Amino acid sequence: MTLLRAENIHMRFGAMPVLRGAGLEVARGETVGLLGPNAAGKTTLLRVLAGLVEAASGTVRFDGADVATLDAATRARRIAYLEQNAACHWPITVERLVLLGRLPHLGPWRGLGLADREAAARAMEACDLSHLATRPVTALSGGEQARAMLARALATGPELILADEPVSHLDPAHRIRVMELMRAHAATGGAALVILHDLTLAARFCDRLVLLADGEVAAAGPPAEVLTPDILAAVFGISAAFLDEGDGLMVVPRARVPQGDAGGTP
Amino acid sequence: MKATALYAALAAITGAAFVAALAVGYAPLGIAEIVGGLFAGAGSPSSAAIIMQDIRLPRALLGVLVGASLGLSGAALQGLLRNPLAEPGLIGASSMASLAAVIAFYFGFTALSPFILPLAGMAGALLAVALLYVLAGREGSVLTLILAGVALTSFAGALTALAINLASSAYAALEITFWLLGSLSDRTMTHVMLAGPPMLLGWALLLSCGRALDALSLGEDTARSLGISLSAARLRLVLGVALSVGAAVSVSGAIGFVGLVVPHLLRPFVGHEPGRLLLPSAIGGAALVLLADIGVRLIPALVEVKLGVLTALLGAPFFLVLVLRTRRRMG
Repeated sequence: MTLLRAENIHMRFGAMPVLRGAGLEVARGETVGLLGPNAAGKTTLLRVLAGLVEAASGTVRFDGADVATLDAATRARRIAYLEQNAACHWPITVERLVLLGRLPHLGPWRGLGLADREAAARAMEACDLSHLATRPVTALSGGEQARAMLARALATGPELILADEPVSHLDPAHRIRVMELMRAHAATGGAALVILHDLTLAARFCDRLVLLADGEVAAAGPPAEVLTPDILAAVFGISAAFLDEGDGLMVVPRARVPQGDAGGTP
Repeated sequence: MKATALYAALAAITGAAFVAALAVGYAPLGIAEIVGGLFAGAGSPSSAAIIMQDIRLPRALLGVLVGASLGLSGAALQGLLRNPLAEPGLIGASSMASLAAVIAFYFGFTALSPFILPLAGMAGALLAVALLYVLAGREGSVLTLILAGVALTSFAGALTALAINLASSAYAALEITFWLLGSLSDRTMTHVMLAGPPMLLGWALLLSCGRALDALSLGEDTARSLGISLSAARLRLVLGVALSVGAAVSVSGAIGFVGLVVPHLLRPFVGHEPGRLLLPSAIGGAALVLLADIGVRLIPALVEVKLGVLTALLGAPFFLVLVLRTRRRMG
């Protein structure tokens, strides 16, 4: 069942078009990877989907309703947005940071309750942060901070997680851990749309991939159909080694190749 | 520290400072005279009653009101701008309020009615906010807001200097300059009644923004994704600062650094959370201004050192240390 459907999204910054008719779908139960070269428009598309900016044209429907017409609190409860390089400006504790994820659930006169604390505790447990709960978030390593931000998003208990490069600062084990968490979230009836640069992670942990180039969708579908030599050459300008030891595809970038004109950046 | 313990400690300090502010003064009064004077019926001819009810009580009450306004505004602005160096003067509200008051002095409007000066101060602060909105826009970034505030402050400073420059007499220039230094002496209950209501309204606006400020710790996009309306929060914060600081400046002149020092000192006690910092900063600001105002009365000098001069003497080095520590942390 489709949870999120975006069609024909156009967006420009000044005179420069950033999105040119991009669209995608995310169904419940799915983990979808959003891939593409730098400046392909991935972050802009994710912000449009999160309702943070309005597209110049096009529609974004979440569970059948236009995202722009959802009231802010409802949208915040149902869609979690994980900013790229998210940082906390004050040295608050990890626990209080994760509890910020409960803000959308609080009424104007209602403070944090037991349910909120339990949700935060579960999220910290899932992200392997329980032992850091009382540490100031600014004193954590980059990887620990990234996990704290993910725990904040999970604590909200959203249906859809929109994550902008959530693994870029993580070591290999934590990269896998984060992708497992995304899959676990999807398996419980939610869905995740994750911007990734790691092709192997995308191939192994995503049900489908959407490949964005120059503000348009260059390819979309199961990883094996999107991560092909021709498409990687045209969009990223690379050749890659494709390995499969029987437990899933691995895609390792090998060398740059001269780019064709099939939508790649110059 | 638990929140209740923090509030209890702050309330005890502020209460003690308030009592001390009533007890300390140039006229030597005993405890019986102080209490008797304070609770004497209206129109009582005793000098103790006049000193307590017409001089010390309004001065202490204004200390609480002005201090709380400055402390709360400082905490709110630091949360909004996510910068521990922010200050109510930063968005230009203080200096525009000063400018409006100076203009009222310059053209002699202040002689017409005691209402003129407070009204001018608030008008100046509100004009600052209006200009800030034109310059920085409703969706303006924090950087634009800061730069617009700097531009407003410089402009107000230049016009204030012009007024002093063109003052008709040395006495007028001196009056303006002294007023700009910031003081709580020779204020009346009329000042309290004039400045109190807009300050309370401003406080209510600022205190309603706690959750927005907490969410803003994570940046503007994340705050909005958490369901916070940033434009509404920004409007409430800027209006709240304009009302409380505008009213404060109009009755006391510019008293700097309270809004910088108090939130900084209290932040560790509330886990550095901007929302939980608001109310303690208001109480702490009241305590600091009361204590500083007791200080200027105790300093043995031929003329009283102005309150704004004392806070600047103490606050400026504090600001410098804060800049150096912030730079070390960033670099």
